[in-house]
Amino acid sequence: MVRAVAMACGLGLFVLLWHIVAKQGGRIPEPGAVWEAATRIFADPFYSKGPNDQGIGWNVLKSLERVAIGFGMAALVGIPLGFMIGRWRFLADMAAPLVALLRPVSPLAWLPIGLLLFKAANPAAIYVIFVCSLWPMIVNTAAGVRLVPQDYLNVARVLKLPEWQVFTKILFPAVLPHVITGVRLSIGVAWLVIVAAEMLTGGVGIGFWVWDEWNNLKVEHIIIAIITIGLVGLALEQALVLLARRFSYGG
Amino acid sequence: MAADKYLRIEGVGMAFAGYPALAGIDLAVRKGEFVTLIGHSGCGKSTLLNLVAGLLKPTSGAIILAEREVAGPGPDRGVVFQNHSLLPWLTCFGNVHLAVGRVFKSALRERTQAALALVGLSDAAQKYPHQISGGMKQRVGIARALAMEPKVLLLDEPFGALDALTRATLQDELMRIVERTGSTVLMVTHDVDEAVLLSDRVVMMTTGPAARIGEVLEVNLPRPRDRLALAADPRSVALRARALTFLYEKATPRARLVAVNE
Repeated sequence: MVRAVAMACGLGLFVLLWHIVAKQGGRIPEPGAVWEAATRIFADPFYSKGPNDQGIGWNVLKSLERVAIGFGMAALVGIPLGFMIGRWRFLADMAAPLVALLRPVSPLAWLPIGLLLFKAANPAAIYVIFVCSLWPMIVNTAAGVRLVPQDYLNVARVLKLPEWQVFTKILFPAVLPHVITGVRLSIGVAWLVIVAAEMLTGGVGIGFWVWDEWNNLKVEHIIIAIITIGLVGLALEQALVLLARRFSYGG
Repeated sequence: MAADKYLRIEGVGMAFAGYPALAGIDLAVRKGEFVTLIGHSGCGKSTLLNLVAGLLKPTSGAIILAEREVAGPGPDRGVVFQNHSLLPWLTCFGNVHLAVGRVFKSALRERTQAALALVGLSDAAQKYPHQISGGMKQRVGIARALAMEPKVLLLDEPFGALDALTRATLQDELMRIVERTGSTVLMVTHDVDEAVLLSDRVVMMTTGPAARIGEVLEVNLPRPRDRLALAADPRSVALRARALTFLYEKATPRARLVAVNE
């Protein structure tokens, strides 16, 4: 209860400060004006008047679709790779310098390579999501495999479980919480990066929508986009926290 | 097959990276016998158990179970670990069932249920390990080991992490189960009372490095044993006194010092 009050106070203070800043003149719209614009935009989020004028709903969905494809491919590649790197020392040593070198690179630096490879903006954006989602997934899965308690592996040895059962009955469930952590971090990064990537590649998408509204000087819409991006990111995060709780085995 | 030498530990030595933990261990366990290994912490008694389990390979010597040399871990030796080692994502039933499926091809459900019934946990079959108490987890561990109908049951301080009352209950239960199944048991403990209550023989080990068997105590108390009657029984009192004397005076001078400091 106290928490809810504190949260409400925080949001209220933010809106108040915003209001004061907006009152000083300049181009920042007041909260009321943004609210009005938002009611108009969200009254019909799924209209479509040609490729360059679509509702905010379509833009968000298009961005989510790119994230889902890029992230999904990264999961398909990164999770098995993480398992292998975690299980075999030699592979881990092979991968270590590559991961160390490439992980700190901003995902957007990969965009020109994507454009070069795919000769189109949309697959290049997906490719950037793929690259940036890959690292957290590999690193967390591999760490999870290395952290499987020796007790569980001893059970596997005493029971002489065949390798496939070691994987399905011991490794996979033991590593799953780490995989979900990797997925959560990846989705977070992917949602950050897609906005920036779309600003550069154009087309339909919430990132390009922000850029478009900037060109139209509709600052209210930019603020609406920022809040929308935040809410979608929050929803993704919460969904994965729920998933993680489901697989935590009560400690 | 010589029933009085069912499990043979012959000239076994074990070194870890040059540190000699065990040296020249010779021990033969009869079929259906209950033998405990007792000694101070770090004397290598758990190492010896792990060697029999096949989780470690001896540096020298050999371990022979039912005329076959132990070459690695296997379900013919049921191990109960000190910290239960149940898989938290499987129910009690699932944990036992996994083990049963490694040994038998038919009637897996029935065998699993029978093993859980043996330790009095039929009602908890569908519970997950985090939903049951420490004593119950250890019982599931025992059920898992017994369900494989192993040639020998290896218990590594199975009750070490439990409170005194739960421990007593589980000791009584273990005695009842072993009597009913006729299992051959090798158990590690540091509790003299537990060793005398449960065993046919108590193997007392010296303190390392290069720990060896110091003395072997024959426990000729009639079965079934009753803990209350034994508490005051002069034979039992004498046996416990002998074990304590060994541990505190003969193990090694260093061990005595450690014991005093504790």
